[in-house]
Amino acid sequence: MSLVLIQEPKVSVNGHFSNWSAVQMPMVFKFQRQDQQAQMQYSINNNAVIKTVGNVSQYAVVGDRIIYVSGYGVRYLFTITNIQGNNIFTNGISSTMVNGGYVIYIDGKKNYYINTELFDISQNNQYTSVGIIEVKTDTLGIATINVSEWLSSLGLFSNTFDYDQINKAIKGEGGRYQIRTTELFTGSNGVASTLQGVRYWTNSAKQIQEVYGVNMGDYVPTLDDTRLNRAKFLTDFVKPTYFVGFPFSLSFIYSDNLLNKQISRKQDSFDINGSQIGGTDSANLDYAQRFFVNRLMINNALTSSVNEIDVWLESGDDVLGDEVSGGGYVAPGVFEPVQPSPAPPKSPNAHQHQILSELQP
Amino acid sequence: MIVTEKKRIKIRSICNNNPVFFTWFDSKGGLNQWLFYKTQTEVLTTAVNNDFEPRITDLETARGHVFDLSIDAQPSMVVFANVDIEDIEGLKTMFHSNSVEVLMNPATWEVDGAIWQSYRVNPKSFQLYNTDEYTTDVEVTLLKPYINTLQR
Repeated sequence: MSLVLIQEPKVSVNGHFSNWSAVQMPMVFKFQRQDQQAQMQYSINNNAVIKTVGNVSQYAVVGDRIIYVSGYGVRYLFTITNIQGNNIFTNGISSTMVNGGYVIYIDGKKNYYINTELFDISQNNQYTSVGIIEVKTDTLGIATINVSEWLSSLGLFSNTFDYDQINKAIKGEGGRYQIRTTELFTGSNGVASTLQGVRYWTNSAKQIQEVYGVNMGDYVPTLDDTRLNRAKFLTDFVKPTYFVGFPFSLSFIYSDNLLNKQISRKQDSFDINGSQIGGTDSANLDYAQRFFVNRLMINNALTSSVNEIDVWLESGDDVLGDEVSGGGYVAPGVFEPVQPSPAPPKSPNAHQHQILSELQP
Repeated sequence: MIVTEKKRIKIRSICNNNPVFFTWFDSKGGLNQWLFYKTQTEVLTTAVNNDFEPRITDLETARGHVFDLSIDAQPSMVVFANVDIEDIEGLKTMFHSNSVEVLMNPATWEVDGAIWQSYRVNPKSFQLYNTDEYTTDVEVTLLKPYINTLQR
C-alpha cells in the first residue's frame, strides 16, 4: 500500500482523540501517495541517484519521469537515465545527499487517481455505500478528500424522537462512517485498501475561531478526570427551560471515547432559593444507543417546589457481556475489490487536476 | 467520573393558556425547545399571483374587468414573549434555524404521540436585547404552510 493517511478530521482533547466532526463543514482527509520508499538521494557526477527501499519498482522505466520527495518534503522532478539494483539514476542535478523520502512514478503509473468509497454505518453495524469520490493527487502526491459533501446528505432536520426512553440515538442528527481507498491507474487492477478507522459526524456547523475547528471536541465526552472543560451538551441555551407538560430533551454526543462504560444520568433539584431538594437522582442510560448523537430525557417527576435542576452524565463500571468494537464489524462483501472504472477519472478538485496535468505528457 | 458539564435547567409550569410549542435544531445540531403562550397574532397575507383583463364585448352581461388567475395565501403567526437575557443566546438560534417545527397536539401528545408541523421564521433584522436590561421582549413572525388555493 503506497497511500499514507496524513491528515484526518480528528483532534486531541486533553490527550484523548475526538473523532467527531461537524458535517456542515469541510471534513478533509489527506492521503500521501508514496509509490516507493527511498533510503536516500545521493549524487554521482553531480547527478541525483535515488536508492530505494528494496528493489526498484517495476514501474520505474528508463526515460520515464519521476518525482522524488525528499525527507524534508522538497519535491524534485527527475528523468530516469539508468536503473541498477536498488538505485535509480537520474538526470537531476544534485551535489548533496538527503536521507529518506519517497518516489512517485508519474509516467510509470499513468492516469493515476484514487477512488475513495464512503460507508455509512447503521446502529446495528450495517454498512451502506454512500458514494465513491474520485480524486487526483497534487504535485506532491497528496490527495485531498472532503467527505462532508457526501455525508451531509444523510442529515436529519425533523424532530423524530418519541420522548419515550431515557436516551435515544437519532441517526441523521449524527452518524458514523468509514472510508477505504483504491489506487487506480492505467493497467492496474485497483485493489481496495482496508477500511480506515470508524469516524463520526454530527449535523452541525462550527463558527470561525472556535476551538478544535470543524471537530466537535468541545462536545465529545471523554473518560478524563483531568479535563477542565467537560463535554458540553449540544445547545446554545445557558439554561434550557423545561416547560412542564411539554416535550423536553437535551442533545449530546454518546461518544466512542466512553468505551464500554455504563453511563448514567445524574440529576439534582433546587428550589427557588437555590437550595437542593433531596438527593441526587441517578438512572442508567441505554448502552445500545452509543456511537450516535443522542437525546437525553430528564426525570420529569418533579415536585412543584423544584425551580431548577442540574443534569449531567457520569461513567460507571464496565458493561458486562458486550465488547465494544467501535463499529469494527464489517458486512460480507465490503472488502471485495472495487472494479476499476473504465471511464476516465473525474476529479472533484479541478485545481489539483490542473497542477498534475502539467507534469503529465 | 463526570463526563459532561452540569447543565442547569429551568423548570417552568405554564397554565394552559394558548400554548405554541416549538422545537428547532441549532447550528450545533442539538434540538431546542421553547413555549410561547398567552398571546399570539394570527395573520393571513394574500397576494394576487396573476390576473387577466378580457376584452369586454358586451357591457350589459359583463361580470367584471379584471379576473384573478390565482391568489397566494400565506398564513402566519406572530408570537411574543418576555424572556430573560440569558435565554436569548439559545432562543436566537431559532431565528436562523431551517428546521423549526411546532407541536400540533399539545394537549394530547403524551397519549397520541407528538405531531409536528414545519414553520418558517420570517427573515428580518432582529433587535435582540439592550445590554442594560435583565429581560427583553421577543417578537417573531412564523410562516405556516401556505394555503392551496384555486387556480383558473
